[in-house]
This record gives sequence, structure tokens and C-alpha cells, in this order.
Amino acid sequence: MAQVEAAGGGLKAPIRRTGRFLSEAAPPTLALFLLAAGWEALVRVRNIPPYLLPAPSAVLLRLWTDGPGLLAEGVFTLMEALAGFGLGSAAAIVAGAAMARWRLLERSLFPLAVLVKVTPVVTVAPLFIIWFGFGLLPKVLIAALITFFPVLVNAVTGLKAVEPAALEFFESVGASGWEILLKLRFPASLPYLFAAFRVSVVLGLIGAVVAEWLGAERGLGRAVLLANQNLDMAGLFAGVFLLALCGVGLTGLIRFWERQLLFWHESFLAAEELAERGKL
Amino acid sequence: MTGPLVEVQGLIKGFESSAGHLLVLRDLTFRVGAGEFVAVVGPSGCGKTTLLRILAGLLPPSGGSVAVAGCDPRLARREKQVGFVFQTPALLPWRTVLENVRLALEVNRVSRPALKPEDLLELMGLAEFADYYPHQLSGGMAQRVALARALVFDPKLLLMDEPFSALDELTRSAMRYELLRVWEQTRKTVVFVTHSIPEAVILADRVLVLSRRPAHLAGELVVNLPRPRTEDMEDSVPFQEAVRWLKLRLRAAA
Ligand SMILES: Nc1ncnc2c1ncn2[C@@H]1O[C@H](COP(=O)(O)OP(=O)(O)OP(=O)(O)O)[C@@H](O)[C@H]1O
Ligand SMILES: [Mg+2]
Repeated sequence: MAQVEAAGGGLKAPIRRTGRFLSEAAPPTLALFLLAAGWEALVRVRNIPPYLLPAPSAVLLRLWTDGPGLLAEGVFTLMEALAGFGLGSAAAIVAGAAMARWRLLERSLFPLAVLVKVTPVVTVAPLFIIWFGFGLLPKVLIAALITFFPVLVNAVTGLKAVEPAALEFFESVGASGWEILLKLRFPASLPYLFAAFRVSVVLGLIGAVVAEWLGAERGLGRAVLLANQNLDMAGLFAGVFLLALCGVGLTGLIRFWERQLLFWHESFLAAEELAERGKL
Repeated sequence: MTGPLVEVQGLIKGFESSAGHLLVLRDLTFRVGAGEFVAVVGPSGCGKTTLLRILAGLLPPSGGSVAVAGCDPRLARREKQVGFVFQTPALLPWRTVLENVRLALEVNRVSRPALKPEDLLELMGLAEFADYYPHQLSGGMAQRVALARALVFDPKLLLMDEPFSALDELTRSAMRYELLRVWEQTRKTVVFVTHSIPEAVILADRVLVLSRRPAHLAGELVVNLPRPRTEDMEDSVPFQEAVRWLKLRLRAAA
């Protein structure tokens, strides 16, 4: 009896999850469809010229015909953004660990990092083009620079957000500063790091696109810029649509990774519990 | 029972802070015999945690002398003679129960411990929960894991700082007898800080009463109850008398 019930529960859970996904995805999909329909009607009824606003059908057609080409450019931009994000995050975590380890370093540099975090650093992009040319490097570096500061600030905050009793336990068993960093501070900082990753990964994409605008041989940013210069609005919207997909993909990747690593954290436990009670 | 495992002589502890000097422990003298279970009660903020941290070698005394197993507490800690159980279990949420118990071994690169973590979990009645994560445990289970974690080096001295105070009354009562069962089997020397006088009496061989800050020894009671202790002893006359006496003492000291 108990076994039958358990098996039933095992089957029911994925179905329930799919059902939840459908009920969550249906309203925005419907809204998007209605929006596109209204837009299409507006363009047709008002006879708006395509160099001002293309109809969604024209954008879709463009995606169909130019899709493979645009997709190749998209992969290029995605690589720039991901490489920059990886580089910037890794550097930020190392710098954050150093700051958490040496108070003087933190006291002198952390306020500056907070300041730079709220500065739109993308504005220094032209300088990077002058320094590093039109190749891949300046794009990656700009994406890395944008990623760096939000991750650094959260890393420093997270590395210090440990339970005092846990720290005391590590001390009481004679753990070294290095072991405390690796086995306590770093895992404890993961929720903070992922909060920063979710923001930074999209910022990195913006950085790569802006860098491409300033001079590039490949990439979706460059494709969008060219379309704009040629008053090819359907091409521009097709590019923006693909960039949006890139953003969704990158955020999804971070979310997935977060789910794997942070199963123990309150944010997920709370969500799980609500789901159990059928409230989500 | 051999000589004293803990010897505290004229212990003084003060803290320097921006607000000035704060004297917490004033001329504290007591001993704990090997294998003895001693409970410490005292008003809130009188310095009980401070005392335990000094015994654990985590905090240096300002004056007087402290010896654990015949040597400096810091040395005793380095030689893994001291286990510590805190008020909160403070388990690492990203590690399973077994991995949490193993943590101290990993940190000290011990591959063949005196007590196997698996056996300790068995002793705590947690064998089936070895692969559970802390968020899947009840408060009482988590605190039992913390106890297993403190015992992993087979220390001579076990320091417990209000370990059950975060639990509900029923779990708390069950945990007392659970601890007594483990203690009967391991015969550690225990210094147990608590706010609950009945808890002190049912657990301990001897209860120390600290005065309010700056704390000194305001009273001492040898508990005349046979071992093993059972729940129905809580209705006995000696138990009630001990509780009444300690209550009066504590009130006078506060
Ligand atoms: N590191 C420290 N620096 C300065 N003052 C401290 C420090 N640790 C404790 N104190 C002070 O020492 C006094 C005793 O603290 P302690 O934590 O030992 O009390 P306690 O008896 O354990 O209290 P409680 O019963 O509430 O747990 C308090 O007044 C506290 O403010
Ligand atoms: Mg305390």
C-alpha cells in the first residue's frame, strides 16, 4: 500500500511540475502574442514605413532567411560575453578572497570597488579599443571589467557572512586561515556570488555588444549596428531578438548551475517547501 | 577517578574595549575530576561562555592559572583533548551529516581516527541519517550531530554551552537522557553550561553556581542521585531539594 503510494507520488511530482510550468508560461506567452498582433495591425493599418517600424511578420521572415548567419554572429558575441564573464568573475573571487584575508587591503580598496560598481564602466570601452585594437581581446576585457565589480562586492560581503559559531568551530579544531577560506567562507559566499552572477552575466553581454559597436569584425552587436546604418529595421529587430535569447540563455545557465550548487540554501528550501504545499 | 582534569585557580578575565575595561570573571577557583559531569549555572551575561572559551583555549585568561589535563588549555586544544558543543549546532549546510562529523578530521588530515565517524553516528542513533543534509534534520538531531562532531577526536574534556536551549521542552528533555546515555558509555569529563536548574541537577554530579558579573563561585552542590539517572528521579525528594537549594542560591547571587 505504502509502496503504491510512493510510486504514485514519484509519478505525480514531474507532472505537477510540468503543469506548474505550463500555467506559469501561458499568460506571458499569450500577452506576447497579443502584443505582436496589435503591433502587426498598427503597422498595417497606419501603413508605417519599414524604416521606422517593421512589422513582426517582417522580423520573423528576416529571422527565417538570415537566421543561420545571425546565429553564427550570435555565437561569437556569446563567446565574448562568456569569456569576459568567466575572466571577470574569477579575478573578482580571487581579489575578494585576498580582501577577506587582509583587512588593510579591504579597508583601502573595498570602498573604491563599491564606488566603481555604481559607475557605468562601459564608458571606458573606447579606451580599450585604442589599447587593444579591434579583435576579440577588447570585447572580452570590457565584459570582464563590467562583471568584475558587482562580483567583487558580493564576494567580499559573502566571504564575511559566516555564522560566528561555525567560525569558532573551525578555530577550535585548529583550522588554518586557508582552510577556513576554502571550507567555510567560500561555500558560505556562494549565495552572494550567484546573486552577482545573475546580474553580471547580462552586463557582460551588454559590454560585448557595446564594444562591438566601437569597432569589430564579427558579432551580433556589429550586425545590429550595420542594420541600423542601412535603415534595415527588420534586420535590427531580428538581431535584438537573438540578443534577448542570448540573455535568457545565459541567465538560465546561471540559474541551472545555482540550483545544482545551492540546493541547501534558504532561498531554494523555501521555494521547495512552497511547491510541496502546492502554493507555487 | 584519578586527579583533576580541569584545574582553575584564581581565574580573572577582563575585556578591553572602546567603552573601557570590563571585568567578567573575578577570582574563580574550582576543579573538575576526570570522568566527572559538572554543570555551571549563573545569571545571563555573567561570563559562562567566556569561562568555557578559556577552558577550550580559545581565549587567554587575564590572570590566575588554568590547566586542562595538566597543561595549558591552548596546548590541550592542539592535542585534541577538548571537544566543544555550541548553543547552535552550527553545521555546514552544504555538507551531509557524515561529512560534517568528518570535517575536523579533514582539517587535521587524520585518516585513521580513534573513533570512526560512522560509529559515532551509530552511538547517537543517527546511523540512517549519515547522508542527510542539515536542513533535513530536526533541531534535536542537528544537535546530536554537533555532539558526534565534538567527540570525533575522542577528547578527554567535553565543553557544552547551553546545547539544548534552542530546542522545545519535549525534545530538550529527551536530549538530556540521550546525552546521559552517551556519557555513561564514553565517561568523558563534561563541563555543561545551562540556564535550566532541573537540567543541571538531572545531568550533573556537581553543580557550580556563578554570581552575576564579575562572576565568582557563589555556591556548589553535590547532587546525591544514583546513576544511571532516570526520568522518574525528577519527582524524587532529593531532586526537588537540590533544585530548590540552587534556585535560592542563584537568586542570592544574581
Ligand atoms: N570578545 C568580547 N569582548 C568584549 N566583551 C565580551 C566579549 N565576550 C564577552 N564579553 C562580555 O563578557 C560578558 C560575559 O559574556 P558571556 O558570553 O560569557 O556571558 P554568558 O554568561 O555566557 O551569558 P549568557 O547566559 O547570556 O549566554 C558580557 O557582558 C559580554 O558583553
Ligand atoms: Mg553564553
